[in-house]
Amino acid sequence: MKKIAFASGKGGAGKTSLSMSFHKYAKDNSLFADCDVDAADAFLLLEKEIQHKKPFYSGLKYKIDENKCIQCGKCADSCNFNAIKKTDKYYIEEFSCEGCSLCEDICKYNAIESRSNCCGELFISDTVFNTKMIYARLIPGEDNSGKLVHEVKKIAHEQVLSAEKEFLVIDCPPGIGCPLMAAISGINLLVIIIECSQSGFKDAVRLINLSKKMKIPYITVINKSGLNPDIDNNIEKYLADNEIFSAGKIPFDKEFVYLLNRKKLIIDSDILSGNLKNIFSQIKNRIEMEK
Amino acid sequence: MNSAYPHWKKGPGPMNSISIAFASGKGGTGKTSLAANFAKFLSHEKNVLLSDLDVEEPNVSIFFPENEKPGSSYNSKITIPEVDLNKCTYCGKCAQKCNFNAIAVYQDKISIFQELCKGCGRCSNICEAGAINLIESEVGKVNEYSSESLEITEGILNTGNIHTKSLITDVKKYRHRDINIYDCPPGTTCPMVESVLDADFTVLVTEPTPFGLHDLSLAVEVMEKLNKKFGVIINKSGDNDHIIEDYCKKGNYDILEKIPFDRTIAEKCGRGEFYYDDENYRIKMNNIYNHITGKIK
Repeated sequence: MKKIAFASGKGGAGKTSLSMSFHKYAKDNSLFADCDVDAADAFLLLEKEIQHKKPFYSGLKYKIDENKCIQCGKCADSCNFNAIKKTDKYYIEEFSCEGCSLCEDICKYNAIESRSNCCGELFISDTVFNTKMIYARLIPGEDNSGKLVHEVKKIAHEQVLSAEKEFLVIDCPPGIGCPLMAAISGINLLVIIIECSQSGFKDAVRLINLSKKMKIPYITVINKSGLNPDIDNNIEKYLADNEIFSAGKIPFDKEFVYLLNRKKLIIDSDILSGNLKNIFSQIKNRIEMEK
Repeated sequence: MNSAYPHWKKGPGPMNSISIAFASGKGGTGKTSLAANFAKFLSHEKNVLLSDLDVEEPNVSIFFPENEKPGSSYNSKITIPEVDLNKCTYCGKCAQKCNFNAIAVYQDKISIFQELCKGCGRCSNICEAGAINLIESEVGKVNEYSSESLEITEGILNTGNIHTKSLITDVKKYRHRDINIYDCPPGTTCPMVESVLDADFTVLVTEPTPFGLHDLSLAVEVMEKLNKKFGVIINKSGDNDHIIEDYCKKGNYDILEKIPFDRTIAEKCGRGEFYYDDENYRIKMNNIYNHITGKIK
């Protein structure tokens, strides 16, 4: 079983559009995992019916018991995240708290209580083309997205094995921080989508550097080309100079948005599908080469 | 606190200073280009600081390729444990108590996983042998520069580092002006929350697609949880705007402005060029500002 992930560093570069379409292209032998737990969107187009869901517990939430608290402020002084604040009385600012429990240790009056925290939900669903997708929804404003990404991948791994499929197609979160690293750790191939803009290029280079550091095999796809030929040339030169494989190029086309607004996949477009199938077959060859 | 700059003094910003955050659930909706255009537009008449809080992938700088006046650069740090092996008794209490699984203790070995450590210091507090000291570890950089009268601060997270939130806090505490504009990271979880937490007003930038709408609704949930003032800008606006308009009407959320889906704008943003020099967009920027100041008062 092999895991292939689509990422870009920058948001809006085409990760979800491309990964969903690649999954449909390889639907006979793949399942789909949406690891963008902050803003999971693929279900809007792919999901037919939820088969199974379960809550996700992670981290701790704290409360100060006003009856026990003597307002000494020692907990606030020791908190490294400035999460304990005072108006007339001390309180815990939930959004700044990292859940370390140091305040519980510090308080000699046992005035701080903790409880485990439900911060999201996991889903296993049937898709519109009769495969399975696994995704999660972190409750907006919550923490622990990296752990939830791990959980999505773990469940997806089991599902791929039990369905006897060859691949897991992963849609990654944006950025290069904790959730992204959780999404790409242990995968067999990373497809880096380079949006043809200054920011798309810059972000992709940071992602390439991270992949090198994490020793993850990667290839690239160029998206939204043709807006600024100079930038396109710079990207192609960079890829050639660094001997980075490009599976192909997708021109900027309003058809992308037109299709999305009709909840259709780009692989089903008469205009786009020819080029996409070429790119996907290159990606597929590549993953078959990876161990 | 987690990190400090040698010259930095904690204190309130200028009197009546305001902070405006540009955020969105979805990535690629145009937060950075809008924040940069808006900040640059305002800076012709006002004292403005633009802060790039998308520290994993900071892109404000592409709009200022010739930042004539590069300023200082600082390391952003957190404190992590360092074990004094002469004192360590390998009792394992630090590992048991670490909520982030960042310490493992074996019979005669102790390992600290820096990439998991959040820098809380609980291990050091719990250690009876006094074997754990807290030392500084770099998570990224804070750079300052300026473009004409606009001042800019950006955070850049070191590749492979996970302390996004800590770096965002550092970028913000660094300096304040009359108007502080934040370019926020995408998403709806801790980095985004940390970015908007102290903003007086948050602009949620969306696009009229099913993804844009869904992620806008998540971002609105965060705003309501935090009890924050906010308004919506429809970027890449066109013939599908009704999906956002219907949603905003239902929830009684303000739409501040619309920026059309236009190839010329896409090209300009792609190159890191401003579009507010066009009279139509100057009017839009001014409308956004007036709307926001009206809401804050």
